Amino acid sequence: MTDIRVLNDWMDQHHITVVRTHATNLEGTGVGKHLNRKKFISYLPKGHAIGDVAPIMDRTGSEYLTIPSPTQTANFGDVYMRPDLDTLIYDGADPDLGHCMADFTDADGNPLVLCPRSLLKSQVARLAEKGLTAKCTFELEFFLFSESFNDLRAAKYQRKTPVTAVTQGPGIYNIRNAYVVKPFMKELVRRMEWQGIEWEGWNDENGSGQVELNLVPQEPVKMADTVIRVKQMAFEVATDMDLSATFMASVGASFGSGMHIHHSLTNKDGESAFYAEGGEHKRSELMDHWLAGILQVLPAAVSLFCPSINAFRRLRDFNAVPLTRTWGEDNRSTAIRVITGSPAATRIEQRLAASDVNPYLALATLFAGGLAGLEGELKLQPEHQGLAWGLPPSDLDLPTTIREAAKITQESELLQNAFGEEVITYWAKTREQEWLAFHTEGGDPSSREPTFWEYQRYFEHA
Amino acid sequence: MMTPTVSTSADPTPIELIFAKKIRDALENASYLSEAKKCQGVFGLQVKNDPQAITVEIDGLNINIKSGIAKSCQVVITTDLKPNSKPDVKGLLRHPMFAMQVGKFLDFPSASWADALKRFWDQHQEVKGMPTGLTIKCLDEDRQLSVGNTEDACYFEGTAANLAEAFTGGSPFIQLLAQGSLRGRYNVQQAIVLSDITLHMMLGEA
Repeated sequence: MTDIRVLNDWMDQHHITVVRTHATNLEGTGVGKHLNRKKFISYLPKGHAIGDVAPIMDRTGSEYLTIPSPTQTANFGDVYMRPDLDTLIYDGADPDLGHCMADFTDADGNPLVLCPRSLLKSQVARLAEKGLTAKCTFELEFFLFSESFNDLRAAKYQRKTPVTAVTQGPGIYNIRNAYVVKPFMKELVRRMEWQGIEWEGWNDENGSGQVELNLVPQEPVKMADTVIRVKQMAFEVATDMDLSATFMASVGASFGSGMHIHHSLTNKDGESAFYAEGGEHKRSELMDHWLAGILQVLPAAVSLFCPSINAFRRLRDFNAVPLTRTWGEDNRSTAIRVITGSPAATRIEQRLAASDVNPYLALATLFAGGLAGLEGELKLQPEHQGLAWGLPPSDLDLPTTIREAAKITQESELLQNAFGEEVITYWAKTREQEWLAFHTEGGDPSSREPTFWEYQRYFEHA
Repeated sequence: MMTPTVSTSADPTPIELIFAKKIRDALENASYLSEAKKCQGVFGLQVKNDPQAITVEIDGLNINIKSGIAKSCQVVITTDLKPNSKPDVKGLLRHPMFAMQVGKFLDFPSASWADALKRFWDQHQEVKGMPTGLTIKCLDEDRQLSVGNTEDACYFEGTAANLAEAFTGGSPFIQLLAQGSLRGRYNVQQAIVLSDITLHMMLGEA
């Protein structure tokens, strides 16, 4: 939709008078402006200016003032948000409103190196150079509480009432719980459908008040856009219904929320690049190299998949979260679950990412690993046999603290080559800052439960 | 005179690292070193209104810092970490001599801002994004010093104590600017680079 006349006609047809631009910064926080339609159009194609803090704020909206950023201007100047008009949609719930995803650029229109959407695009382009395209989907887990955001904030997040029954142990797929959640989910999927977002299903999850929503696979950038949009929509529906929904990774001492990521590759002929006839599991050689690359990058990817101090609370044995650099055929305890059997079904599921992960960075990291595997023709490590929880310590253990994880990320040549050294250095320093802020601003490392500092930082912002 | 070793836990908290760095710096001072070697026992340091806490075990030759307040602490000091604030001391009556030694141990010698500035510049002038020069004015001494290129140097002014705190990595640079302890002429990028260095100095990493 690059023709202004066509754009105006489309906006007339959908009664759009206001457009909300929506970019995602490194933290995964949505930023943008509500623009008068005429102004939105007048800014095209370059987009509108926004303060240079927008791409580099922490979860609380504060700029990292102790970390040199490659996109920082000298004196709090501007960067730009360039709308991707292919993503322009109408809101549905708000009849005057359109939404458009955007990339962060400099004044000349060049993507900012710290723009996660652009980082993902560059990895997708590397795939395309090899004649490959990817399809991905995410499983979104979140918690739903009966109190409004305002009420919980006023109560310092202490009196949260899960919308579903409090379970004593793992309780999942419970139809009664699903019935209680249904009014919220019905409204959520209704709004998703208005915006053209396809979904597969949802179900009650392990935690009390926890729900999982599954989306229809799409090409990577569109899929990550969809995740960002659905998370925003869940916040809006909860707000409108006087409830609260959170993608905070750990809301209590029990189950946390993850974001499992499925992906598959297709070759130029439109056939599965992961599938091969013959062999026990019908995996192609390409799939084995790709998997080997993902496993190689995994330790360095932990800080990207689990970006907050709160996300690391999930990393405990028997908590449905992988703790080792392992893979297995249809094994939900390994970091990488491989699903095979038919060309359509053959895919990889990454099970480490937390619900507060930045979906653009998560996919870009997976692809960077996979591509390194292809380019280096890496040999796949042996499949993990059996349960991958409760294992003795070994060199397959993944880092379990954010500081340790950040150091491994910082040292990863693979990620430095894929994203650029300055991006990786910046990211690692922001994770170190996350650690520092937790310890020096009121977080309590001895607490089994998330602390007030974490609720303030993540409950409404993850 | 043998200098005691200072160690932290395997997965140290920031306050462990910050405290270890302060002690290591202080041990370079001969009179502090001699006092420190007399100090033997276990004490805790707890931040008021904040879960940050450490236990310090000293036996003259080894100083071991770990997170939290251990049961073995003979003296526990609670402080809000603000200058001139009065700390609460638990264990003073049962271990008066040790409490006095701890008091001396925590009385870190003040550094000379001019020496700190020169050392800071020598160590960090090559850091990417570092200003080409620094001109620093000490307000209470009415004295100015420059390092590097003086023509387009950043300018900062403050008291001797605040300047020493800045250039020894006592606090991140931006924090001193934000709280008005330092003022100057500079741009954001320069302030951030100075803050990055001082933050890592504070943690004993630079």
